[in-house]
Amino acid sequence: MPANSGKPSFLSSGRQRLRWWLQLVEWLRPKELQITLVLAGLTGFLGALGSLAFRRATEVMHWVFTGSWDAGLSESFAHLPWWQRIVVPTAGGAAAGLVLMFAARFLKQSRTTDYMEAVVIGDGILSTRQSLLKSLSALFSISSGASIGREGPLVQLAAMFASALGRIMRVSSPRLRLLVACGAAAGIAAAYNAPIAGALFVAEVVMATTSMEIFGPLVCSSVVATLTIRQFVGADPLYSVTHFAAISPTETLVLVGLGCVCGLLSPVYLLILRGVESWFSHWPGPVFTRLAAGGLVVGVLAVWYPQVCGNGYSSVNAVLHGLWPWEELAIILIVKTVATSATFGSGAVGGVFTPTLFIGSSIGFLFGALAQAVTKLSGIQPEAFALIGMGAFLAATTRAPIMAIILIFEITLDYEVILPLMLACVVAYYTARSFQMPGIYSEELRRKGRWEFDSELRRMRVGDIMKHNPPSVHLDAAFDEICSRFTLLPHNYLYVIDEKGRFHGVISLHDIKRFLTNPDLATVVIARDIMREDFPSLGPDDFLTTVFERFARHDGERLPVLSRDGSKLLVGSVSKADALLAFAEQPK
Amino acid sequence: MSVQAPTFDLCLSEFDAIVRTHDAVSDPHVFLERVRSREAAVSTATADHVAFPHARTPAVSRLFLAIGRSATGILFQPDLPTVNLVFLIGTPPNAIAEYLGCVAWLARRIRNPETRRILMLAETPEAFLKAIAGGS
Repeated sequence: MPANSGKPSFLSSGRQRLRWWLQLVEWLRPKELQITLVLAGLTGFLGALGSLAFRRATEVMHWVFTGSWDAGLSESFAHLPWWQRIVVPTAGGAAAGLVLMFAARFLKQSRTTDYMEAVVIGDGILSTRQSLLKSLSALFSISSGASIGREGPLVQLAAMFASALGRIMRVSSPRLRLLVACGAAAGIAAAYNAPIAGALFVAEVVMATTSMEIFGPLVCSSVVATLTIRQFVGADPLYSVTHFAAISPTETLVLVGLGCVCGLLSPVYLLILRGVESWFSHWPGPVFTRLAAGGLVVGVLAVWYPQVCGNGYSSVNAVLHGLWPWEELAIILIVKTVATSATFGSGAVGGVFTPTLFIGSSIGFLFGALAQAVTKLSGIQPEAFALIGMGAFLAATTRAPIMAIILIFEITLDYEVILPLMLACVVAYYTARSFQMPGIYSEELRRKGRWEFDSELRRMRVGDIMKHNPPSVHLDAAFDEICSRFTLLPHNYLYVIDEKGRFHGVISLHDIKRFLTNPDLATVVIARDIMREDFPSLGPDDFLTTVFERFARHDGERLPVLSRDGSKLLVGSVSKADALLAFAEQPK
Repeated sequence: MSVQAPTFDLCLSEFDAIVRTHDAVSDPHVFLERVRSREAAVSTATADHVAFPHARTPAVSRLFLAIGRSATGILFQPDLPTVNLVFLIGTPPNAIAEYLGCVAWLARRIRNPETRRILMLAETPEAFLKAIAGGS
């Protein structure tokens, strides 16, 4: 056919280019996990902005309450007259309580405001107005000197942004929970300039898994949050410490002792927090008087020890640099524990993370000073033990040793600290675990009903996590229609149904990829010619365990859900990622 | 194979003799029934007077192709042009890519009117196969 030889060649090369283009589009087309990663990054960015706004608001309110722009609350309080040291935390507590009362009275409490509850036992929906009011309450407490950490509201705000973003993007419930978890990771990362610890905190404490389906988005969110924060506040480590000298084998044994002490004292600390909280729960007056009473306790203690005010950041720095003699530190440790218990127990909104770091560092310093006096070993530096104590006590209190190790490394950026820190954290963790007492965050979740909810989780069914309206084509759909559906949808399988919605099989993109742009098949081939009928499926009433059994024998990303009334109606689909997310929220 | 039947159903009956003797088809009855039901859903007849009736079924152990030619034309569907060239294809259930490859190749070859003309004029099966394979 010499007359036509040029034309087919041109058409052939055009089709070839189109096929390459479609294959490139198919390869580059974002999958569900990649979309989640992008949303996680956006969550991290929004969380960091929320964190910056809250920091700025805290500085302004700090000035309003104390008339000082000093970075630390304890420094500001040191310059206040004795009566003002009492009045400011009391008034701040009252204002914080009034906000909480307003939130409870005027806003319908239909949704949770706690990010852990939203992730672990909820549907990922956080009330925006309630969260904002809770953060406003925290703003009053924190800027007026309450002994509580600001990481709490930072995490709260970041999680709130994540929840709102997820709802705007209409993500599924399991993915919404994951996004809220990403917000929490961003909040921690932004608060401590610690991206790895932020992701690990949520993975270890909240999600109880490091599966890449979950850990990947957490890392993405915390990295973006940290990068954003560093643009505004710099990349310096949170705490400046003197170089940590390598330790000898003898000193290693002393560190084991420090780990044991931290593990033993952690349940005591938790018992004090719970005891004071329980005492405050019987408070007869309105909420604002209860928070004012918590503030009053802090204020009275601040008359003699202004170091009790604030989250303990400047106090930790003082301990790490050995600025206080051990006798003074021992007293400050006691009064700070009382102040933190009073603030936390009265119901003030905030975190106990930084106060816990202070208590750990104080225990470490005191233990180091004692060990130095007893053993006369020159290598034992109480300041270095303070650093190790921070990590060990945090590991024992949160029951998250990996997060504790990484956090201390990230906030000091001193690699020499890693070996002794790992040892002490693990020893502290196992010592604390032997008390059969839940960690500080597990206890909070237990109170909020997680354990009661466990039985529900164990009964979780496919219908709870499936997505409705899965991608499908009719049995008689032409090949060109099938190809265009694959080009437009980010799925590897199309379900084949009849006019009544009954499932007949699936078309695999893998099977037809080579022919996607072949015009000769456009009308000759229809869906029923190329569908696979022997495809595994699920029923809405199947348990989560059945889902994993099916996925164990099937390489695909998604399985169809069919009605089990004999009609085989296609009612939804379940992806492996959604099943893993649901599974991750079950207790380990 | 030269087809005398005027309709698709009768055409299949003529193919039955070939299908029964081919070792790739373990159950001719099941295979032809599947072909019939597939054709009933959407006809494979094209505007070029060619049809690709086919079925994917366990009754076929490997890709199977039988070709029929009708000088007078076969009526597949009342609203479609009559068919002069019939390519009956059978494949095992999992051979989707092979099936698509076979249909795509045949459809590409048949698209050219000159090829169809040569196929209609081929005097022997060998000449027919040579023409469809790309020979002159």
